[in-house]
Amino acid sequence: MSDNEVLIRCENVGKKFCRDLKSSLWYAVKDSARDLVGVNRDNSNPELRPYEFWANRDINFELRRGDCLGLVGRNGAGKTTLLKMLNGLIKPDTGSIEMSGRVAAMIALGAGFNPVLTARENVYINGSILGLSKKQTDDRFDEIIDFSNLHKFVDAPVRTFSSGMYVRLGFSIAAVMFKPDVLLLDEVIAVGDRDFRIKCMERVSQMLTTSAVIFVSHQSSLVARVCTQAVLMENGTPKFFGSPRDVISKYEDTSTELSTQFTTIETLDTPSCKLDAHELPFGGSLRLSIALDSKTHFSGLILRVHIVDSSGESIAEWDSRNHDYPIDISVGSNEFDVVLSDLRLSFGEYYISFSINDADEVRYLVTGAKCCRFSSLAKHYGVCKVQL
Amino acid sequence: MSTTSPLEASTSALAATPDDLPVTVYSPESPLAHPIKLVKEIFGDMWRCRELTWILFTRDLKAQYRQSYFGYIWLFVPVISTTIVWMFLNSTKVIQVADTPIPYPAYVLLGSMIWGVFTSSLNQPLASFNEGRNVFMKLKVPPEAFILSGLSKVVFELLIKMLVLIPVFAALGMMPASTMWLFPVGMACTVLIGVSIGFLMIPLGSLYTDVSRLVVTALGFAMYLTPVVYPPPTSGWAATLVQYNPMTAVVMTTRDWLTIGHSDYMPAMLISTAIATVALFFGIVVFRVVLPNLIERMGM
Repeated sequence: MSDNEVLIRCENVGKKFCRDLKSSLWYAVKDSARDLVGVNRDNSNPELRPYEFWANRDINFELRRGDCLGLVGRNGAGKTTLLKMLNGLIKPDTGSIEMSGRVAAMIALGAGFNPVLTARENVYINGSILGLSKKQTDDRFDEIIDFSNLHKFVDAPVRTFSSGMYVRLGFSIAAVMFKPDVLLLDEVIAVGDRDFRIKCMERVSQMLTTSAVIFVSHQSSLVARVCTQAVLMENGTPKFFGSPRDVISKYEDTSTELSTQFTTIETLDTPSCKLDAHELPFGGSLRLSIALDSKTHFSGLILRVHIVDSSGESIAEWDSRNHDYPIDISVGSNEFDVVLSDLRLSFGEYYISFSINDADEVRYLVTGAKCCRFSSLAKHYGVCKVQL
Repeated sequence: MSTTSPLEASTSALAATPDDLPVTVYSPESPLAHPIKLVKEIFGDMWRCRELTWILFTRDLKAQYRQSYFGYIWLFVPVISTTIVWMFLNSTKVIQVADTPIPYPAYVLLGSMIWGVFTSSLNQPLASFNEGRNVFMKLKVPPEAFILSGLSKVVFELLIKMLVLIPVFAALGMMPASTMWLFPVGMACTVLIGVSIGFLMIPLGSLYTDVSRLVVTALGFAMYLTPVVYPPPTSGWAATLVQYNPMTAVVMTTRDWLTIGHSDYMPAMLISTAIATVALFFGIVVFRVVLPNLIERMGM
């Protein structure tokens, strides 16, 4: 097992999809007929037929053992299509893919589960679908149940399981069985509750070193942590290859779905807000200015400012009550400046959102989702920086 | 737009695929370019997934009766009820219509049993393929295992249904012919013919639902063109039509083997079976060749 074995090689891979159902079915008939008479589809540069588009195009890369390539991109950018081609479920329309060794895909967790049957029975069914013999499942059975930590439910029908338990069991079967050369991961490694997610991550990390991995995720922090390289997919084509860090910042530049919509009560005008900077050095500070008009006078309000990470989780909060900072809104225009200082945020993209409540916290006067974006230029990943 | 990856640039000098690992190549090329490799792969897969076939078969069987108090007893209920119905019909002499070489109730019962297993083995491949959709579109698994497991179910149910013959024969005072051991062979040929058509139906049938609708209609007609419930007519254009229907030979021979011991239709049946065997082989290969095109249309 040398380190520089190329396990995945994609050359000029392309795939056409069809937007129209009827045409798509008809093309399937035509393509099938062509496959059956053995006429090769024109490999070099096939034309698009009506309603077709390139779901994947010009994909070239090589991956070695120990490499982990993150596929980053918006919904519909062609990530899953590429994964399906690598898994051999669908055929490329151009180019070629070479996969070496045993390929495992953690894509559909719990495939083939029958809801009426017990967890025990389903472990064997799913194991068999994933390519394990009964003997191999026997050998791993305890390990699977230990991993899923569902000891008490081994003989319960899986339809009594919560969705979290269901995927836990599915993940455990997949995780325990694989010693793959190539591993395809589609956003499944974060399943279940937090403790289980950590366990999943550990297990996946173990597999990373011994296989070539393709990892699809929308969670930038995970991509940054797990992958050795990444590629930004846009409209089916690889827009940018590079380090996970560079790719993520490129990706987040393109995904600007900022919600600047605020919900305000009638007496207030929609506020505007801005930051004095959009790039934050580690330990730096930011000034958030909020301006709003009001038709009424309010006093003793509560202002809360949240820092939200790219997955939408609130990671820090500033509350005016804790700072003895009473918020009064007078008739006419108002302006607040909040300085958030000594922000030790790890590398990544963040948003600021804020809300204004009345003093009893009953009524929101202003609420808004992500309104300002900034990125931290810190050199570390993870939740915080640790001194060693 | 063209992209050169830094990965590629940095590693192409060292690029060497290890020869100790099996390499799979996916390209637009038709797998028929290497027919021997393809056939080996298909039948190798079918052999390797025999355990999966068994597990899927038992899964469906268990799941079917798990939520029931009487469980597997239900497997035999249709048999018992059919027996009672035929006993009743026989005692009342309601259906003594046609001129058949054996008592008419036995004639019809056997005919519909053979026809029934023909239609279910014809429909099963497409039905199993459609049921397994969610797995095939996500995981690389031989769909043949799911189809074989569906067929095992057909055969299993047939075996149980055949139990009904024992009390019926006894009640009618019939003795099975000395060629009764050929009866299962006849049934196997019936299944084989059904499956061969069923396999050929999958590619188009999984794309267009017209196929299964058409088949339902066609089978309705075909049953009356086959001597299932009446003896083959001896004159008129209907006789010619029935004569040239390949299923006539199959149904007649299988039934005759159990009841009267000789059949004029045997050569025709052997020809049908031979054709079906070849057709099944092609059906399996065709299915594998077009499979990626079908999966692509199942959705993401």
